[in-house]
Amino acid sequence: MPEVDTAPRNSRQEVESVATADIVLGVLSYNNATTIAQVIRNARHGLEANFPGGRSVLVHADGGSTDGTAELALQAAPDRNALLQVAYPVYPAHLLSPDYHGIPGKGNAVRAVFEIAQKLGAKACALVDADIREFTPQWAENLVRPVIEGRFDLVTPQYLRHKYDGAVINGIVYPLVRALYGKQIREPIGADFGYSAKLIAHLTQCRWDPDVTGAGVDAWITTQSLAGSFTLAQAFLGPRVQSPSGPPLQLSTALAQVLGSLFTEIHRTASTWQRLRVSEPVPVFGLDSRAAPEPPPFDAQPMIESFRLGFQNLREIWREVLSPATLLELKKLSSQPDASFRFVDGSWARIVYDFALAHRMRVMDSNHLLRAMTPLYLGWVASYALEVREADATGVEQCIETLCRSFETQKGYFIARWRWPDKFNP
Amino acid sequence: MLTHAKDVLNLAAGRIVNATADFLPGLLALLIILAITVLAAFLARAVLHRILLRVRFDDRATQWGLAELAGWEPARRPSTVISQLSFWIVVLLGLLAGVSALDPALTSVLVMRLFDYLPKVAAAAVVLIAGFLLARFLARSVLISSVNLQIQSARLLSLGVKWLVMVLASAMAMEHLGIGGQLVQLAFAILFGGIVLTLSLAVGLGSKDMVSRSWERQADKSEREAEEQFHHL
Repeated sequence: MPEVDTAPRNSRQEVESVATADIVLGVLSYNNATTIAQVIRNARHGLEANFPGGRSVLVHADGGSTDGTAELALQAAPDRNALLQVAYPVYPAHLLSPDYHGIPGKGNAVRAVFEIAQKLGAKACALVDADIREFTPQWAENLVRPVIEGRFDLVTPQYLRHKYDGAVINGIVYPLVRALYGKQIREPIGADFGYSAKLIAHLTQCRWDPDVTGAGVDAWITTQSLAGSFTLAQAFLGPRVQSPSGPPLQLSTALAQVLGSLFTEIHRTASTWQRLRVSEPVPVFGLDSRAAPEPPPFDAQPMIESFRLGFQNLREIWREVLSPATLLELKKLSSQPDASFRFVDGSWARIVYDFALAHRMRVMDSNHLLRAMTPLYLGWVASYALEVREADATGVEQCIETLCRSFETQKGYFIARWRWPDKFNP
Repeated sequence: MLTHAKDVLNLAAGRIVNATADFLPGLLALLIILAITVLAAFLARAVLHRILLRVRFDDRATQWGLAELAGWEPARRPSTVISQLSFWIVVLLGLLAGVSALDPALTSVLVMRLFDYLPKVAAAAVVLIAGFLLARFLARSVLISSVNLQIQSARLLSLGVKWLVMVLASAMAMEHLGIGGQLVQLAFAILFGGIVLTLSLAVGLGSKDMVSRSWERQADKSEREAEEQFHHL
């Protein structure tokens, strides 16, 4: 596999002076001048304090920042030999359509850090985004320690969120990945991960398709690990407060990116997930007893209106994807009063599965298909928010657990449709 | 005098009889060819229809959007329309062959003209099909984006875009065929200009307040969302 075309910012002597490393921590940035210095300092401190015996190196991969991020990172590093800076290739397409995670061409950045970690012979590697406002030294420890001491291959993050936060993760990504791949990972496409040398060796040998270099890299790495014989753990990292470098993406665009990458990976790994039937918990490291932050006031009414508007206008498109029974349920739902507006878990699971299948079957243009799901998703969010409005943390977990079980129950339906799509014509 | 008139009449009658005798075999041949052609056309239609049904052409056409665009469904399915078209093509070919039995020169002129015109028909068909596909794609894009932006008149917008592109494609196709000449271009320019002017006047004069209120609402919404810090991801 040819290497990614990166340009080192350090001098030749500085690069050559770093011959080996036990731990590599990659920081990915794009116009993150406000947060980069703190992330670099705390990452350095976290590695030195928690792994004093091992040699650790920070790698800063920047996607062509124009706000002085690279210079600020260099100033924040106490030792120039312990911070390698690389500029990875960012193509105009990456800048024209920004990715939901805010790092253009993130796949190339990830690959650049992996290649450096391999060259240095690192036993463990962690990757974090530079836009985190509350990055603590604990993050570096929690992502790396399970790899170094626990012999885990992939460490996925777990964040402290309020109950309405991360609805795409709670409502689609987590239940779908858990049901299909049999591992209960709460943040399968979170931004901050820990990797073992074994997993990096496997990933660098894989083919990095163009869709992997964009928004889909996180989903790709997670599903590669799930489909291969790699051991997984989760690291509790606390709240993830971001300081985004650009305006937020439209929900439909972000949803299309996330679902597009996930559905593509589901297609690629179809032979693996069809064999799995039950899910199992994944160990969590670094748990703390902090309570989830208070949620902001939430008004479900605009989301219910979005769902109704979608039902009025997008029925013809949904008809090409969903079964008549599901459409009938949606019709009933659209006429329900706001207070009793509830999505049945089983119906929601079937809707997600039907869209995954329609993506595989290329029923219509992929972008149209994925964006047409936005009103359905908003309807589910409204229903979920109304359900957990009065619930405490345990109640919220119970609600998500019930949804996940519905996804697991409906997996048979998905497999049947996947294997014999012609037998069922919506 | 009478004898001369009789001779002329006999001669004329003889010519008519001769001409009829010359024409009748050709006419008979035309009728026979037509009869065979109609039979062949029925056969071609049945075979083609069966093949199209076997390859599930109707489902595929629905997926490609051809059925919806051409307004074939549900009254006439795409496979029926195409097999019917094959029927008429075979009949037309038979008619040309039959006419050649009557007058070979006439047929060759007709065929020459037809072949001269065919590239234009093909180009017009390509423009029309491409235009219809583009219209459908854009209409769907506008519909989905408008719904996601919570615009109440999403369907109307989508329909407007669809018809605009279809009218443009039709005008281009007609220009290729040489139908209407400058009239089609002028009509299209007047129609398009009229739509733009109407929209400008509607927004500029009639809906000025509504547009500004809409922008304010949008700005409020963005601010509110930022304040609420509601992250879907």
